[in-house]
Amino acid sequence: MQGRQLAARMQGNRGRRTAFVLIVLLVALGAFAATAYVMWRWRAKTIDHQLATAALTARALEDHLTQTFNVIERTLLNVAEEDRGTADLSFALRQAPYLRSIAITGKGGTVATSSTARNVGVRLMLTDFLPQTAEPVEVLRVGSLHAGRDFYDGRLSHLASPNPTISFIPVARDVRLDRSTWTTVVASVNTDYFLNFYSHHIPADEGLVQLLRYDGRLLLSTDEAERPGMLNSSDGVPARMAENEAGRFEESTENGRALLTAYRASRAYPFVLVVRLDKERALALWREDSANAFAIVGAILLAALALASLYFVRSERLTRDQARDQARLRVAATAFESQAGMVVTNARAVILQVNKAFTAITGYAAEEAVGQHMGFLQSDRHDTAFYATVRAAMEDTGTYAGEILIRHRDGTTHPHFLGLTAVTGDNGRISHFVGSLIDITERKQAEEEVRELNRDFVSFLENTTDFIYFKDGNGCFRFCSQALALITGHASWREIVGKRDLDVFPQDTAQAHYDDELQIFGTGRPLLNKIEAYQDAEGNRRWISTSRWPLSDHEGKVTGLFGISRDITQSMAYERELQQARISAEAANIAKSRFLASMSHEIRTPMNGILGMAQMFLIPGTTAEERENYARTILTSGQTLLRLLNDILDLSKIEAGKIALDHAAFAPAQLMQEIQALFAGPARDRSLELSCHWRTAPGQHYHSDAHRLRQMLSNLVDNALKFTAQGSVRIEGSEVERQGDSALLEFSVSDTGIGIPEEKIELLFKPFSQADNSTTREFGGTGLGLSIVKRLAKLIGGEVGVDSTAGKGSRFWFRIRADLVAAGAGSVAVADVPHARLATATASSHWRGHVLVVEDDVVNRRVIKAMLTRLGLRVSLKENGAEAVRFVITDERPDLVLMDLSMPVLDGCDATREIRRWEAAARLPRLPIIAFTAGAFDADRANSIAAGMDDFLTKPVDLDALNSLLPRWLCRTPETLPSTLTDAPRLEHQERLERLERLERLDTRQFALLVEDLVGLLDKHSFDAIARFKDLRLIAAGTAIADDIDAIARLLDEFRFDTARERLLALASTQREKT
Amino acid sequence: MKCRASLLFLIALLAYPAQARSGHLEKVLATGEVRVCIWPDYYGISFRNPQTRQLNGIDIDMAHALARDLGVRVRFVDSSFASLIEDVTGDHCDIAMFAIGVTAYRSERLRFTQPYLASDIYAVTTRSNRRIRTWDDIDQAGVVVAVAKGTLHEPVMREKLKQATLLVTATTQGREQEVESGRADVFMTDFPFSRRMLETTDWARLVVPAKTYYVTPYAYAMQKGDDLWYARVERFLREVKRDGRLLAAIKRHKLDPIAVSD
Repeated sequence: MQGRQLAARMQGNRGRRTAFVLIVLLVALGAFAATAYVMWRWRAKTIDHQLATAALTARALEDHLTQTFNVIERTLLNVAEEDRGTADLSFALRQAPYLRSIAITGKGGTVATSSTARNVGVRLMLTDFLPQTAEPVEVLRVGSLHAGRDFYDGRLSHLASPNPTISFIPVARDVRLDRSTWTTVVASVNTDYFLNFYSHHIPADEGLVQLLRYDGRLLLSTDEAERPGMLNSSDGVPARMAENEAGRFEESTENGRALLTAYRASRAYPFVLVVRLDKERALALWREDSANAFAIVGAILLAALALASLYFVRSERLTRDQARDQARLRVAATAFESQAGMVVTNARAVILQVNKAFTAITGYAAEEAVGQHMGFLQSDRHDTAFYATVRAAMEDTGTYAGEILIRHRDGTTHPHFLGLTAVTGDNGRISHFVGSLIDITERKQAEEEVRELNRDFVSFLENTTDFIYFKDGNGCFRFCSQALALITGHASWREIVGKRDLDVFPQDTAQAHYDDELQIFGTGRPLLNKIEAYQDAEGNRRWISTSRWPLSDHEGKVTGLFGISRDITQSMAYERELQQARISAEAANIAKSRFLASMSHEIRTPMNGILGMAQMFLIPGTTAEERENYARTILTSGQTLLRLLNDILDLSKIEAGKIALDHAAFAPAQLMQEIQALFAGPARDRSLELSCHWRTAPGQHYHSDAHRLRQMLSNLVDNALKFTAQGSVRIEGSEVERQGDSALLEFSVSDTGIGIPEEKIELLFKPFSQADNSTTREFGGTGLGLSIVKRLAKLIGGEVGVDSTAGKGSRFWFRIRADLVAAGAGSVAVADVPHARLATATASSHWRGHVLVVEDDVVNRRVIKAMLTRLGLRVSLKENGAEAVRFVITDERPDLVLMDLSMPVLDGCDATREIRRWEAAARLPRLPIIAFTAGAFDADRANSIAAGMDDFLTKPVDLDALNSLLPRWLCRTPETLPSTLTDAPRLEHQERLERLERLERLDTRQFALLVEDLVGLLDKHSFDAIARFKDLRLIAAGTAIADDIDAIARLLDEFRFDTARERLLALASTQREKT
Repeated sequence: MKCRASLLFLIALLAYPAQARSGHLEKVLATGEVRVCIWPDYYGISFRNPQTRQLNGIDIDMAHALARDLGVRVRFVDSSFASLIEDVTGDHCDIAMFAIGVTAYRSERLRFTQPYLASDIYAVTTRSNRRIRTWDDIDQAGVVVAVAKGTLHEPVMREKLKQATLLVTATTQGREQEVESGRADVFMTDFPFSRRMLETTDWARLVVPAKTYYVTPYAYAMQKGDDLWYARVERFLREVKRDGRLLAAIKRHKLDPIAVSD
């Protein structure tokens, strides 16, 4: 578009220029043509004028000639009349320079008298005088030209003779003296006089003057080259004389000379005067004038042309300048209406003009701002020094650029970028100021945000433990985390900036990084979770996981990258552990499933016995013998169940590593006999021979856990009996090795049973994995026996093994290391056998006292109450810990408390703690509290002791165990203590009770809603959860879960969202269960 | 030239030692008038303009200067070279002041001051004269040379001309008429008169000697014997030479080419 305009303008320029040149040419041509025409006319006029001049000259000269000759004639007449002699003659010549001499002729034509004495006696020849006549006439006659000074030396000048240097013309006048007498007076006419006179009129270089005699002979010529006396045939004058006695014409001579000729015949004498002007000479003035005229016209034209050209160029430049100025004006106008606020002031900073953007920025309309001093925009936020700086900058450089705070129309102050420029006029003085104003409020805010982000980012880089770095396209570090700086031996991350991997890492590491980064630069794709080994400062081998991402510019070109490396040594270890735990858990899960299946069967069998026999027991009409049989079956089945539970507990204890070995001295032979005795009955029942052999010294005693040995042997024998249909079971033992005080003992149980396939031997010692699941159904048993044996042997420091042939039988053995007991140390009491305990089961005693039973299960409450009542004790029952505490504090203080551990509202341990605290505050003696629980683990026992309980009673309650426990805690007289309490502790406990009750007042609905809300937030890892969690803490403040909530809050403070979520869900679940 | 003039002066003194008549100065001062002889045709020297009758020339100026020095009036007395000696010796005037050529003949009869001009001889012919082109054409056979009687040229030319014919006219006008009418070819004159011819006629043509021909010193003439008068005039001449009045007058009348330099 601009190009086309430019082309059009250039074409326009060319057109104008061509037109201008054409006009100039036309004017010049016209002027020259006009000049030429005028000059040509002038030439003709000049010629005419010159011809007229020639004619005029000819006339004047003719007049002079005629007058002169008239005088000469008069003089001659006077001389003739007076005839006074010679002296008088010379007197007549005075003042007559045209006469050289006068003479009077005498007889015979000789000179009688003359003014010149030498003429006397000279004979005159008057024959060729004009007019020719034979008789005397009273007319002046003119002779031919004579060479010489006077008659005395004169001779006729001939054409052949040399041009005379001095000449004269003789004239004669006949004078009648009387009727018949004539005298002739002659005179020699001075030709020089005429030549002088003529040459004055027509200088030689302008032309010439000729005096012809009427017959055409040349008498005189101002041109010395012309020969007097000649008759010029080419002369046009004589021919014209025939027609006209005066005339003018142009002619050219033989030698090519152009002449302007005028002639005139004397009106009285036989002369013709011819004036010939040189035409070229005559035109010289014209030519000069022409040349001058042309020169002047040319000069004027040239000057005019120059002026016109100047004007044209100026006007062209003006047009161009105007176009440029207009373009500039347009640009300036557009620029003025730019995004920036523009303001133009005069030299005194009074506003002349503002643009729309100014109004948009400041809020001041143009008519409000114009006429104001610039200062009205000032805010009071700058001091005078600031404005002095601005003024100084303006004075020094004429410009100022910088930030300034300006008050808008609405009174608010905003930061702006102000550019000020002074406009200088032609006189060098400042005429205007131009200011541009850009509101940079948003930019400043953005900068602040960026600064903040930058600060946070730097803080992040300096504090993160991860190795983070950014690199440019050349692989140079732009910045990195302080952790990376420290590990590479730099004090600050800033020292790494600009370095390359090779400057920072060992060469092989750097090369590896280079290869990876080359790939990222090449593909533009991130490289994630690359795990690499490295050596830390102490030389330990550690692992890091590195991810790198490309950084791209807006065109998608990769310009750099950043990477995050994290030490994952620890988490890798965790992961490995987790993996193993998972595998174990999966295996355990499978085993548990199988165990449950087995248990179902194992429990059903005795339960069937118990339930069946109990029904038979209740059928009326059964005999006492039958009832006893039934009761025994019930008891046996119950014992089987109990044994099963004990086996499981044992295995659990062993696996948990919580079994404690009880070293005591024992004699293996005696122990084996006890086993034989124990299984004699069952063996007999199955018609199997059960034998027992100790092959070493029978009296030898050893130190080991005899209880565990017995258990192991029992399990093996029990197993053998179970899997042997006929034949025998043999128990054998021996000392196979002795080293000082230590011996290696081997016990084995051989049978003649079904044997075990070789491939299944490996599975034998694993829990819940009998060689064949089907065997369980056929032979019963928990399948835990061999597992327990193996674990116990390992625990004691021994090993187990089996030799088996399918169909022939098996031999199970185990070896343990035991210390020798010196001979003579005496026999050792052997622990009770089950039979002994069974014998005391029915024993009963009577006790006095008040027992509080705290138990949530109604059946258990009834059983224990029956048992305690049977023993003669008074029993109170409470369903949970809170009720129990309230009972103890406010109602009646019992002598003994049986406290269940797991209860709703307040569990056993917490209730015990409350009671103990109250006792301490009230300075009361310690109330015996017995833990009463189905939990058979040591952890339960430890927890209850820590909570302040005194003893432990396991459910189901064995009457004997209860009987043996009571004497320990009811031997003292309870009535020695006051039953009422002092007021202070009572009040204190009132508060505690209120607190406890407040637990029930926890707004569970609100709690549930908040939890639901929070779980959602935590799922998303939203930080809003932290704020929301404060609400939860407010609700839970002062309640029992306050501590738990605080703990979760601490997790949140570490941003462990997932863990917090799990804990919160668990807590909520517990709360739901409680309500 | 000065030596020559002084020599002539010395000869004049010796020739007439006691002939001086006394009292010119006294008489001049007594009457309050100095009578100065002039030749009124002497153009540039003492020329009376025929139209205005006004006197004009270097010696008119010098005569006035002399009268002023003396504190007297000036009265001009017409004279000519032909009547010069008679006018001076006859006491028609106290002094002749018209550029009088110092010749031996005149020096015998008059007392000359030291010269103040010196002119060579010049020839005047007509424009149309085809015989006389240069100075050398003058002394040729058939050429007629005119001189005025009583002028210094008459004796000089009589002595100098060998081939040409000398024509002595009675008046100075006569020599001009002879030349103009062609009866003579040239007439001889001095520088001031030749100037007059060139400026007042249209026919005269000047012929200049190719080399110095005959230079004559010009001075003022007085009667012999009146030493007092003579000394006074001499003093005047010295003063006008010294104070530049003379040179100014020479320049005023375009006579520089013939000024005498001391």
